[in-house]
Amino acid sequence: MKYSLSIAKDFSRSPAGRYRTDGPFSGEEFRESILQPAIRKHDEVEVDLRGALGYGSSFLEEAFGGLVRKCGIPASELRKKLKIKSDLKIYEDRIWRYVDDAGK
Amino acid sequence: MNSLPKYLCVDVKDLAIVVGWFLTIFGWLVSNVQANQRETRKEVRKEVDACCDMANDLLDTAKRYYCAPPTSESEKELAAKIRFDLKTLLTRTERLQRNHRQFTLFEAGGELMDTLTGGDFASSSRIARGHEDELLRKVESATHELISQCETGFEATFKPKRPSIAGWLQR
Repeated sequence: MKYSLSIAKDFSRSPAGRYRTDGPFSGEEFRESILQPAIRKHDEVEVDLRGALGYGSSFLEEAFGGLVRKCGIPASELRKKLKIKSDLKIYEDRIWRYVDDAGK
Repeated sequence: MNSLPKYLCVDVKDLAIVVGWFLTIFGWLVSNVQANQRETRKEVRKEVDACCDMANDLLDTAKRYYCAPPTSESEKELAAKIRFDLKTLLTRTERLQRNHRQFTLFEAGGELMDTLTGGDFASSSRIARGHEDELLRKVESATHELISQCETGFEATFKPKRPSIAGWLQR
């Protein structure tokens, strides 16, 4: 069953930073508190990036690349489970690059 | 005196009217197509200029951000401004590429995003950099690459590939 989550609605409209030590709404916080549990629990997870005021690479890399690098989820499994919904194609493209790079 | 038969004179007169109408409509079509092309060119030029200006402003903000210490009051505001302005810029460059296939801004946009907001961006352990820092050089280079790609796309979109009717008439 597909599980959908929206970063803007379920986390923050202005997510920022890589680590929790950088401040609230960091990539690490999003990954550990929302994204990773959802990936572990559901067969398909759709992450909606729309509605936020903008994303930095540091946030996206830590949130999505961190799934491979720190949580040990293989990039191939993420390709099957994770769906990205975004109004900017470039965000989606970068996220998959971070995932693939973390898997190398 | 040889004169044309009466029925043929009527036909030639009719033909002249038809040719007149045809030339009028054809001329209107040509000028309409050219006017539309000129308008599109103007609109795209305006959009390219806006993207270049935004990229330059973003570079200025990035310099202010990276040269300020992470504890400064304006630091968070500047980081938020960079994220927001970058999103606006990338939205516009993506739209340009979607509407005009000759623009290839995707890679340059992604490179700028990674250079500008990757690494220790929005990090509490970030260090204040000097104006000659390597990172700022990379941001500058990525900004110039995006601007250059915008100009290349514009040139490729509007460069005349075949001699136009107007060009032919001017010869």
